[in-house]
Amino acid sequence: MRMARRMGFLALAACLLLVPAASFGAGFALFEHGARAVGLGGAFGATADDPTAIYFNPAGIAFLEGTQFALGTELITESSTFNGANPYPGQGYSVDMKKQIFVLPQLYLTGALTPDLHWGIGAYAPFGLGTWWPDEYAGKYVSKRVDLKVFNVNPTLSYKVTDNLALAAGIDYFYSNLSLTQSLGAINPYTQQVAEVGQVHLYTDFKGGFGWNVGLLGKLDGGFSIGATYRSNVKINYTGNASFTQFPTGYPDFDAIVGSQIPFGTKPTAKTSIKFPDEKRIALAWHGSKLGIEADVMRMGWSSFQDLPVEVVGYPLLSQTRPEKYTDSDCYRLGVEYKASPSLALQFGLVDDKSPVPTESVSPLLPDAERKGASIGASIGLSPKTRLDVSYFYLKFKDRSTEGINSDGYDGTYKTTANLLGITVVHKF
Amino acid sequence: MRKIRTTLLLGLVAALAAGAAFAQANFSKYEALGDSLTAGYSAGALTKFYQDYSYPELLAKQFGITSFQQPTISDPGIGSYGTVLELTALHVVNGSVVPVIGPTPGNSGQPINATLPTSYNNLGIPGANAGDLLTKTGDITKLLTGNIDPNTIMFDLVLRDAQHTAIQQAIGAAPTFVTVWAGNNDVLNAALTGVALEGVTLTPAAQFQQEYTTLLGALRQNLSTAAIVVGTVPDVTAIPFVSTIKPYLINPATGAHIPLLGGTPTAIVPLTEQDYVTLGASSLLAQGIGIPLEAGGTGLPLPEGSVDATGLHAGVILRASEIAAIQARTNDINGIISAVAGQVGAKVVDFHAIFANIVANGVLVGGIKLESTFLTGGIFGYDGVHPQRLGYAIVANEWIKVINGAYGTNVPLVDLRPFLTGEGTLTTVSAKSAVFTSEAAISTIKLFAPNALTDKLQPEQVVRHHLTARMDRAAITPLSP
Repeated sequence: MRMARRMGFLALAACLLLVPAASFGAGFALFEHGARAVGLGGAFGATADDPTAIYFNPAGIAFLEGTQFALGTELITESSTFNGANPYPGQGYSVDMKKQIFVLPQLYLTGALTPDLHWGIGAYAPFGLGTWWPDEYAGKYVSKRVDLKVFNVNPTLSYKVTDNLALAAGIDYFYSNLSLTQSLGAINPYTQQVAEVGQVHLYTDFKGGFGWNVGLLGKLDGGFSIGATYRSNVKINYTGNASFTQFPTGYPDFDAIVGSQIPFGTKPTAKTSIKFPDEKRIALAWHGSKLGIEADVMRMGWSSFQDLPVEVVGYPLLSQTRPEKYTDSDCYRLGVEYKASPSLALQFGLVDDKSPVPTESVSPLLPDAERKGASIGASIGLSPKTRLDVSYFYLKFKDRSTEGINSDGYDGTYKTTANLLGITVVHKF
Repeated sequence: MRKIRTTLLLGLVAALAAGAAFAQANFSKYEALGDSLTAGYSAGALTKFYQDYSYPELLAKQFGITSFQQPTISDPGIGSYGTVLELTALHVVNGSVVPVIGPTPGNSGQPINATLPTSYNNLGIPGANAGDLLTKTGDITKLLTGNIDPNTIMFDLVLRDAQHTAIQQAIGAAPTFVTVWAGNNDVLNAALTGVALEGVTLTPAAQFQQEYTTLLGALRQNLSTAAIVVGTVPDVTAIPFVSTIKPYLINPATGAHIPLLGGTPTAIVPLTEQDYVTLGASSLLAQGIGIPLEAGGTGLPLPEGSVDATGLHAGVILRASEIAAIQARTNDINGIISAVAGQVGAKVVDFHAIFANIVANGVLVGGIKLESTFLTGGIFGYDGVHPQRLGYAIVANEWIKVINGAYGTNVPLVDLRPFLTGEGTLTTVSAKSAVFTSEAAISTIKLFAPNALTDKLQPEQVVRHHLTARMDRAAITPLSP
């Protein structure tokens, strides 16, 4: 029985791995790891009173009763329009990003080893990126499609030092893969214009990387509580293949020369690496009998992401390092919860998330911008032991212009909005 | 008294308005002075296909000018060898790509705007150096009556009335805005003919100083409120005609460099790694000339440019010392351009720096890296000297950036997408199925040095020359003329 349950957990975790991810925190971070916390605008680091605390503040699980689990998902749709500017692709040019629905998984399990020492294990997607543009759009030589999936398995231990103070430490094991697709262009000497000579699709195997995290939660007098967490960098070295496909241009001798330069039809080994940022959070909450308020400030260490090196082994001319030069960024979160009845609580949240992406790096790969969002949520008691959390989150990105300095020479303004719907079930055994 | 005062006041207001217009730049009437780069010359010819996208034409469009007049020639144009160059094949020989580039078959194009009753707005004259803009005139009737003089054809085409010089015509048009990109041919002739000779292919610095000062001085004196923007001269090593062919072959087995051969048949001087070989050598190398016997060549040297009693003989080698002399003169000229521009309140587009950056880093447009390389770089055209349409559009944007920076204007940059991808309003090049033929090389050199002798550039002539010079060589077979 015990074995069967564990197998079930692993099977579920394996399924969840296959789900694509999107980017809805600044950069390509994701913060939507529990419907109630999302309803609070992600301001949950000092409240942290259900199993989703494993992400928001693992110290919180020391205060949870018995064995609990939370299982949920966040559904995300995004709408992004790019309006071109001169000199390329020109004023009047407009293109919409392809619509995708992203499904983020979340699963948390907590329990007590002793009255003061609690364990927890969480599985969720802390980062992810999904941008997909139409095949024939003007930025196809920069990027057509990117899919970055990152899944974190996060075991943690939390120790209650006193009745009002808990400390936690945990391991992050990231499991991730990356795929990049772009068109290959070359100047066709016959037309003296660019010709789409092919496409390269880079896809990596799932690779792992370790990090760690610590948390503190203190309950103060008068209903106040404070939380602080730190989650470390995680670096992943990816290996996979680059697959090159040739497109005929109508000029056979040109095609033959291009074909002699690029390993079309083969799949040479490709390597890349990403150093995911560290995350710091400081949170302050106040809880009365019916009303709770929390504010969190976060700093993401995005300066870890200075470039995206892609090496096609044996083909130095096809290898390239994209400079990204992200900078550390801050995020502000405010949440309010009102307990309307023993079986109903309502949440409201606000978010202001700054962009770590410098103007020259704002590209079709990641048209990032500062975003502001508002959320509402409800927690409904289905039974004394089971709770259903639902939330809706609307994100409006600030219009982001490349100001004529994009490093790929693809200039214009991106207008993006996103809608997020979260559902989480929390159960106490 | 009151009337006088009012008049004075009006005069003052007018003067202030004129001053304001000067500071802000008024683009309503634009005249462009210069050489082949200004004319929109490309692929060895002046032809509508490229003229329609000359940088002055593109600037005029961005300024909102609707009737910008150019000395348009119908396709396939007029080049120094006949018609515009085209790429006819890309052969792969021993692993390297050999393009075949030669003149388009058929008759030359015809002037199609020759009866314009006013001066052209684009007074770029292919082949003109700075001094020519002050002194030379042209007579269109020679062209229209078939009495073509290759030494004056471009002046005849652009200046037409046999009376007025380029500077006179520019001033006569009373422009509010003037661009001047002159001085290129004061150094380029040396690079293209392979002969760097003071006073012959290189304009002496003192002479250029005097000519350029006169040129800009005349503009400022006669057009006191016009905005004037000028360009500097790029380094000759930035152009594919000079940079494409390496002075050595690489032994594929060892990677060792095998120097090409220069000098004379009786005194062969292998090239050093600091020497340059121009595209003019392409068809000679294809026949083994310049390649050592042990590397499978003829052992005959590539021709070096020379001057003798019969004239200037164009060669295909630029020795390191010649390049150094050309570069030193280029620097002199650019110093003069900047200084004189400062004196007359003209703004400067530093094409020397712009092209150096293109050579070093390329230009990224829509994820595509454009470079200064021949044929595949996207900037230069088939003659290896002049930009093609995309290159001219990039040049136009460099003018616009300086104009907007200097005058606080907001002239939109040229949309490069039609030029890069063919999407949009450009017509694309007709598909024709391309070695830089000796005709192509001669065509290019003749533009800059119409008087140069090109006997050394024709393979048969070279072989004949070598054979007569080296009687010790074994099997002499007579060559048909």
